[in-house]
Amino acid sequence: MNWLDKLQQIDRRVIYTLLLVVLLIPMFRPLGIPLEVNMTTQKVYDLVQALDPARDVALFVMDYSPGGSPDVHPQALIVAEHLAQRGVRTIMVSFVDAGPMFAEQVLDHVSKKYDIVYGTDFVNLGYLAGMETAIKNFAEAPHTAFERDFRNNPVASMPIMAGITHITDIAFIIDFQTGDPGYNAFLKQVQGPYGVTYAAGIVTVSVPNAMPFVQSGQISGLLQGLRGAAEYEVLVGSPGAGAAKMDAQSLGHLLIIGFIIVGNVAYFLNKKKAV
Amino acid sequence: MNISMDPWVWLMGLGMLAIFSFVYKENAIYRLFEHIYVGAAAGYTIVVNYGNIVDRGIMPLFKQGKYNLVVPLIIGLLLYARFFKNIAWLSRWAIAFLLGIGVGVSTFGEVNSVIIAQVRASMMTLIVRNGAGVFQLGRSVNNWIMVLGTLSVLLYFFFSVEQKGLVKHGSALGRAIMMITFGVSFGNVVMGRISLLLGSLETIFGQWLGLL
Repeated sequence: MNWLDKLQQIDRRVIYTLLLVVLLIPMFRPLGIPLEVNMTTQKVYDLVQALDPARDVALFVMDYSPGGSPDVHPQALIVAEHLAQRGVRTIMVSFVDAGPMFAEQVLDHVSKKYDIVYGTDFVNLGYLAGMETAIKNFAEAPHTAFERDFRNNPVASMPIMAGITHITDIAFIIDFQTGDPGYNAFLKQVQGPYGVTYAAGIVTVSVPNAMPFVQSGQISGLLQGLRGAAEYEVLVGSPGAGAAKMDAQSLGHLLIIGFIIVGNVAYFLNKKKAV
Repeated sequence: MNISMDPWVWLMGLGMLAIFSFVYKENAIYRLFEHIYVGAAAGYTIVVNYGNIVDRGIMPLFKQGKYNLVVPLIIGLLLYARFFKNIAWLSRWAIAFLLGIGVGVSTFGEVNSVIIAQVRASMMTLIVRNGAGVFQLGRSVNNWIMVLGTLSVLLYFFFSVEQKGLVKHGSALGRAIMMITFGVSFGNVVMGRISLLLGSLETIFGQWLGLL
């Protein structure tokens, strides 16, 4: 086996080890690689900035599972922080069973930084089973979809729910998701029929599929995976879980680009040699 | 260094290492944790769904007198009729009901939000000018790419005419655009997987071992 063959058959354990080293170095010693803010992230930020704390209520949808949480959870943390910073009343709801658990983590994070009153500024309604049908059900009557919230408080008497009888009473929806139900269900059941402003925070893998809906204006703003979280942290001026990992992410990409180039060069040189 | 004293964090960290050990080769510890994961996930799903039925079906029916809930509960029970040979046919009623609801709920949204809205979004101005009437080169080029891309990909999947001449060239452009799209998707998959790996590394080195 010549060296060109060897380059095309690098043991996977070598690749994993190199990737691990490359990812760990900037985690221990950040390099400070500059980060440019994507237009879709800027739009989410602008939408939150445009909300009127005296009048508007935001719906914060927690539809992600533990498997995809490293990509989406940092987004939820920083957007919740921004909403709390602006004093916008925020209703958290989940159509995925793990959602309320993450909502509690987000509430815990936000309440350490801002003086929020549960039931007045923020509420975690909990999980509503039924996927797309549940979204439709909630959209038509948010005030009756839950009798008690995730902490077992009666929902009807909460100040935050005053005047919320239909999804059109919500000024802005931000939906953090890892799969089904996701933006498709919300576009079909909420944004399309009622025209409520809808933004999403999604896993990086789903970005190409979501872009046509961003281009059409159906999704008003999009946070793209961990990068989206890091960009939002830059905009809010509160570097956190997202920004800390972007150096590692960038180096990881460079390594993979390197492997792709080496593999292809070796392939073509080998082919040329054989001819 | 500030190692966590929380036993659940230790379990999480050890579980991650056990699953990562598969990268080297398959082994007994990986298998053990794989089985624990599958069992825990199944148990969790059962508990959540049982809680849903009790909280949203049984309790409101018997404690609050919401008798209309009898209908969905009976329809739900009918799903289990398939386990009894003589009444197995009854489960089809429940399936038909679920299918009907699913189709009914999603049809309007699918047509309105996915098909019509997307078709409308692809009908774009090819010569873009701003409010003052000044030609916008960048936005115009973007629109041309999107319109030509959409048409050429549709042409690639148009099998009613022979692929020759203009159709062949259009189809080749469609294939090239799809290749670029697949490349973008692959890039996003790599980026997404690295994000997930970083999340795991942060848990191991930060939350568990307290090194970050």
